[in-house]
Order: sequence, then structure tokens, then C-alpha cells
Amino acid sequence: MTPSSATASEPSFHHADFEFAQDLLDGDAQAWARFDAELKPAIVSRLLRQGATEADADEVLGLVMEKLWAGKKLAAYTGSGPLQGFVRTMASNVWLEYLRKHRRMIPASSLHQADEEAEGGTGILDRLTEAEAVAPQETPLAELLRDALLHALAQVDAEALLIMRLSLLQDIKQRDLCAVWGGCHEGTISRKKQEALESIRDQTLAYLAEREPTLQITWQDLLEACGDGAEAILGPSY
Amino acid sequence: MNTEHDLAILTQFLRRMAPEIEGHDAGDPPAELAARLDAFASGKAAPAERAALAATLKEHPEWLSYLARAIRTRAA
Repeated sequence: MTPSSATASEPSFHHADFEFAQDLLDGDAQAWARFDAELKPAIVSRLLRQGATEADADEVLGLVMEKLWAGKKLAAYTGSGPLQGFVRTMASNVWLEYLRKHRRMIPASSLHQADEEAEGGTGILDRLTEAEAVAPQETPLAELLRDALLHALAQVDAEALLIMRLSLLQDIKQRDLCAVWGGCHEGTISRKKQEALESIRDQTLAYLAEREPTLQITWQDLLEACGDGAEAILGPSY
Repeated sequence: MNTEHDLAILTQFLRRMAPEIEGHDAGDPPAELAARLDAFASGKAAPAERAALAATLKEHPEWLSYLARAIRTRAA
């Protein structure tokens, strides 16, 4: 993820991306051409990197497009993060939904075949779509990431966690933390924070690999989903 | 990896998804614990005591705000 010029706690308004989204919603041909040239490949690339086959990626891309327009997800985009991060995070979320519905890991091509073979045209994908309409699960990715992070926090060294909490949640200054920790050097506090982050990263990714082995999410993907792309899975932050 | 930036992202996400991680401020802890936290805030806790209090606060984040207030009071 490219670091934003704004702080993580103060998301900036991405005016150009917001305008781009409005142009797409207005059916502007140039905007659509740009979507096809930039955002579709970004979505497909993300899906392939997260373990999707080409057939899966095509299928999931279709579902993402449906959610963006028919599901009005694009209309809900407020510009609080880059549009590319928004759609990539959406794609990861839809990919996770897709994986959970196809837990037996049937390739999408086989599903198409099964669809065609089903009697009366009610194939697997049709039935899955019906199930989704009955029991929508809006943010399985957000829930998975929350569970993974809470699991990771429970494993972090208590002192490193305390320093992290005092610094980030209570806004205690680094020099004051040094005084509390017996007048230690600021580097000691920084190292503790670094240790905490590395532990959280390793434990989170291990949890995700165990819970969703096919969803090959990277730390950068996770940061994007929790940060720049969070609106796609959490809604606006106001 | 930018530690401060990454941790801030995760913190903001968890504030929305799991607000309990901040710990609800439960006011003043029991007197014995308050005295230990005050000593900690003033930089007088030995390493073993810091480790013990960190473990206590990991289990009881509701006392985190008390410690933070004590640190701020001494820093002011």
C-alpha cells in the first residue's frame, strides 16, 4: 500500500477518485474506458494473487461488478480512500464470500458445467444467488480480519501491547513512555512497538492461513482493507 | 513496514470493529492496584513489576485509562 499523505486516523478526501466514481455512475464513456483499463485489471490481479484461478477471477469480477452497480456499492463510495483500494478490497471480500460458498473448492468452470447440467435451469450458481438474497453477509472480510487481529493481540507480549495501547489509544507521548519505563532510551520504546507490530503481523497472517487457506491475503492487502479500502467493507467512517 | 503508520491503521480499524480493545474506563482501580499503577506512572516500577502490571492490564484493559491519566498528570 502506498502511504497516504494523510494520517491513518484522518482519511483524506480523494476528490479526483470521487469524481471518477460519479462519472462512472453517470455512464460517462471515457470513465468506463478508464475503468476497463485500470480498475478491472487491478481487481483481477488482486484475485489471482489471492489464490483465484482465471475462471474464479472472471466469476468474482462479475459479482463485484454486480455489487458495484446493481448493489449500489459504487454509489455509496464517499472518496474517503482511493477508488482502487475500495474496489480491490471489495473484490477480496467477494472472493472470500465466494470461497465460503464453494467450500469444497470446486473450480468455477466445473460450476458452470454443473449449472448447465442441472434440471430446469436451477444450477449451483443460481441457488447460491438465491441463498445470498435470503441471508446476506455484508462484510465477511471485515469480520475475519477483526477475529484475526484480536487473536493476534491476545498473543502479543504484554509490555509491548501496553506500550502500543498507551501510545496509540491514549496518546501518551514517546518521551513520557520513556520516563515510565525507568528513563529508557526512545529507541527501546520504538523497538517494543516494532516487536508488537511484527508479532501482530505474524500471528494475524498465521490465523488467516489456518482459517482461510485459499484466501492468500498479504499483509499489504490486509492494511489496505483496514485502511484505504475499509469503506468497502465497513461503510463510511463518519 | 512503517510501524507507526501500520499500527495506526490497525487501531482505527479495531476501534470500529472491536471497540472493547480500548477498555471501558472503570474509574479508579482498587487502592492496592492504584498505588502500583501510580508508582509505575512515576517511573519507579522495577522491570519485574512493570511486566506484572502489563500482564494485569492485558487482562483488565479497563484500568488503562487510569494509568494514562496518572502518566499525563506527572508529565504536565
